[in-house]
Amino acid sequence: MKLILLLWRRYTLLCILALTSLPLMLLGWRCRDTVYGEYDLDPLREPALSLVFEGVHDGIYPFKDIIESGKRPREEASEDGENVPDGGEAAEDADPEGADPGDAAGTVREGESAAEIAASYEEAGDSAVEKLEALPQNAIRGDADKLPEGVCNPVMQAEDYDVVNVAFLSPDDTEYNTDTEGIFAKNGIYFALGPVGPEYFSDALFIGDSRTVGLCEYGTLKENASFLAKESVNVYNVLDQELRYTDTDGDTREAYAEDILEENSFGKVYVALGVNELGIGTTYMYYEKYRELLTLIRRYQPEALIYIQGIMHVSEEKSSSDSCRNNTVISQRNGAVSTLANGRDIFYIDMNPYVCDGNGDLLPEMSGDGIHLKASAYERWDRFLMENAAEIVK
Amino acid sequence: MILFNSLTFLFRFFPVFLAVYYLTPARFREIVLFLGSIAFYAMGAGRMALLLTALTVINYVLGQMVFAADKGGLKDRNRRAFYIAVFIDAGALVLFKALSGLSDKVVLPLGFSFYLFKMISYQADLFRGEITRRPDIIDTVVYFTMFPQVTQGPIMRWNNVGFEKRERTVSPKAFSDGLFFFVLGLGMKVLLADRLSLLWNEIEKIGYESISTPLAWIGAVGYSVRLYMDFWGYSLMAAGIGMMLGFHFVVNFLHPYWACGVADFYRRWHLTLGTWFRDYVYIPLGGSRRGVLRTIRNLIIVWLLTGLWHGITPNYLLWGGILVALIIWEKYIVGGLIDAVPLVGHLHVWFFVPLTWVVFAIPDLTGLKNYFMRLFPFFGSGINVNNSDFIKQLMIYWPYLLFGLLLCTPHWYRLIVKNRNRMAVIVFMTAVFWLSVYRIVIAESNPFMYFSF
Repeated sequence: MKLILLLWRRYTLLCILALTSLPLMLLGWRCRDTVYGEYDLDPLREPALSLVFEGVHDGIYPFKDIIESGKRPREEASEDGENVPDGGEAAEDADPEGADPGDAAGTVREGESAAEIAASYEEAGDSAVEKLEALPQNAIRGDADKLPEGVCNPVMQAEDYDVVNVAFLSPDDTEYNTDTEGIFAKNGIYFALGPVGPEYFSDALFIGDSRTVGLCEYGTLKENASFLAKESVNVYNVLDQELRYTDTDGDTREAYAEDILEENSFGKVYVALGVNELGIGTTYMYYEKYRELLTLIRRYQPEALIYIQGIMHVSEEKSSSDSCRNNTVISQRNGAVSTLANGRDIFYIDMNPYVCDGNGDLLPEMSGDGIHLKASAYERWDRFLMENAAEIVK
Repeated sequence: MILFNSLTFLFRFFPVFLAVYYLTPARFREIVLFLGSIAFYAMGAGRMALLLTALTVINYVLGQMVFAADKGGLKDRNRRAFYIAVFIDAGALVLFKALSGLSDKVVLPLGFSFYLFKMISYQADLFRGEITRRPDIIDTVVYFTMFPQVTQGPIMRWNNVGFEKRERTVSPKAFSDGLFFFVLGLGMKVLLADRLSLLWNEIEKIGYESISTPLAWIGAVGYSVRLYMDFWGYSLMAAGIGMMLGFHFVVNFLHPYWACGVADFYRRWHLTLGTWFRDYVYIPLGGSRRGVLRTIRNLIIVWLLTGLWHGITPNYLLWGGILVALIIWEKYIVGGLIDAVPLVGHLHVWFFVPLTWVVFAIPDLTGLKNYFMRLFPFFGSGINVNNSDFIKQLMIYWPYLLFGLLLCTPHWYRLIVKNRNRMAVIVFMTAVFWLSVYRIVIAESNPFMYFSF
C-alpha cells in the first residue's frame, strides 16, 4: 500500500494515463468483433483503444440503449411526411441484432468505412429496389438513341482518357440498370446541349460537396442560381446532414436537402458528388446510391431537368500518389453514372476537357491543392455550364 | 516514417522500449538505447538505417584518430583525419541535398541533416580539444543514433549529453517531468499545429492571387504559429523522451516570438541549429571581431547556408537573404533605437518574422509574388477575390489561433510548467493526451477524411 502511494505521488501523470487507458483498452479489445467489428485493428501497430476513439468519431458506442434514445433528426422529420421516401427504414428492420445502431442504408455517416457501407448496402438493397418499383408509372420510357435529325445527343460521353484500368472495373457480369422508368419527361420532347445565358440558371439548384461550395463562393452563377452544398459530403451521406443552402438572393441557411427539395420548385437540379467517396465502397455501390438520389430528387421535383456532373479529375501529382483516389477510378465512376442519363430529362455533363490536359490530369495552374479549382479558375466551370445546357429542340 | 505522434510509437514502440530499458541493468542501458534507436530508425527509413550505421562507424573511427589533443597537441595525422571526416559528412549532406533537389527518385534519408550536423560538431569538438575524455564507442554510437533526436533533432552537443556518468539512471522527478514535457509537446503538435496546417491548405486551395488581404495576414500569422507549435512541440517531445531516459533537457526554443528584434529571435528559435552555425561557421570565420565588412560577409555566409540547410529551392535562399538583411539593418542602423525602446524590437519581430515565414512557405516565386500582392494590395486587386473569405476561416480556426498565440508569450507556458505537479495541471495534461490520441486515431484511420472535401 505504501509502495502504491509512493508510486502515485511520484508518477502521478503516468499513473493517471495508465489507469485511464486500461478501461479503454479492455473495452476496445472486448468489442473488437462486435460493436467495432467494421473497423480494422492491427494489434501490432495500434492499441485496441483506437477502436473506441474511432467509434466516438462515428457516433458508435458500446452502450446501445443510450444511443437508441437519441434519434436522428432526419428520421423524426420523415415521420411527419408520409410520402417521403426513407431508404433507411426497411433496412433498419432487417438489421440483425442491431449490433450497430446507427447503421442503415441512406443514413451512412461521414467517416464510415467501405466495409460498413457495403454491409449496410446488402441489407438495404432490396428495399431500395422495391421503392423504385413502387414509383408511379406516369411516364413513357425514353429512348435517346432514336433522335430526330439535327438533334445532337444531349448525353455527353464520360471522358475516360483511355485510363480506365481493368483493375477498377466492375466484374464482367455487372449490369448497370439504366432502367430509370418512372423518372422521365414526356416523350416527343428532345433536348440538345448548347450555349445559354446566365438567366438559364435562375431556377437551378446545385447540389454538391466542397467543390460546389467553391462554385458558390467564387463562381459567377451565385447571382443567378441556388446552391446546396457542404464540405466533405458524399453520395452516401448527403441526405443525412444539414447542408448550406444559398438562395438566389444570396441568403444562407443550414438545411436538409430533402426539406429544400420539398419546399421549392426548381427547373434544373445539378448534382456533383463523388470525390469524397472515392475511397469508400465500389463503383457499383456509388452508382446505385447515385441512382437512388436521382430518384428522390425526381420525386420532389417532377418537372426539373436533372444534370449529373461527372466528377472532376485531380492533378497528376495527387492521382499518381493514391491507389484508389485517382483519375482512373474517377473515370470509371463517371462512366457508371453517365449511364443514368437518358437525354430526356436526365443529362450527363463532363467538364474535364475544360480543365484537364490531354492525359486527363487536372492542369496544375487550375488548382492549388490538386483537388479543387482555384478561385481564379471557377470561371472555367461557369463557362462549361453555360456552353453545355440542355434546351428543348423540338 | 515513425513519428512520436503516431499510435505505433505511443502505444507500441515507446512503452515496450521503456520497459526493456528499465529492466536492463543500468550499465547495459546504452546498448539497449543504441539497438532500440537503430530499430526505430529502420522502422521509418528502412535500408537507410545501414547508411546511418555506416556513417556512425566511420565517424567513430575517424574521431578516434582526431582525438589526440591531450597527448602533446595536434599532429598532422589528427588534422588529416578531421578533414576527411568533415569532407565525408558535409559531402554526403551536399550530395544528397543536391540529388534530391534534382531528381524525384532520390529522397533525403530521414533526419539526415540533423545527425550529420551532430557528427560534424563531434569531429570539430574533438579537433578543438573541447572533448577532454576519449569518447567511448558505446557513448559515441548512442550519441549519433539516439532515437529521440535522430529524425528531427534537436542537434544536441556532445558536451551536454551527460556522458560523464556511465550508468544511466533517472530520478522519479526527472522521469515525471519528461512525461509532462512529452505530453505538452504532443498537444502543441497534434491539437494546434496540425489543425492550423489546414488553414494554410485552405489558402492554397483558394489560390494566393484570390485571397482577401485580411485572410493573407491571418494566413501569415497562422503559418507562423503553426510552424512554431509544430517544431517546438516536436522538440519538447524529444526533450521529454530524453529526460525519461536519463538525459538532460535540451532547450531548442526560448519564446522566440517574445524576442526583441529579429537577431534576438534567431537566438531563441531552433537554438541548437543557430548555435551550431555560430560555433562551427560564424566564429571560425572570424565572427564580428574583424571589422564591419568581415562581419557582414560572415553573416551572409551563415544565413545563406542556413537557407540551403532547409532546402535548395530559391525561396530558402531568398528567406536567408532577407533575414541577413534584417539582421544587418538591426545591428548597424536601428540597433540603438531597439536598445532604447524595446517595443520597436518586438514590433520588428511581429511584423517581419511572419512575412519571412511566408517566403519560407511558398517555394515558387510567382506564388510568392501573388501572396505579397495580397498582403500589400497596393499594386492590384487580385483575381476573383471574395472579400469576406476571412470570416469563414476565422470562424473555424479562431480557437487554434488563440491558444497558439497565447503559447507564443512566455507567461502561459511558464505558468503551466511551474504548476506541473498540481492536480489541476495533471488533469489538464491527461485531457490533452487523450484529445491528442483521439485526433491521431481519426487522422490515421482515415487519412482522406482528415482533408474532407
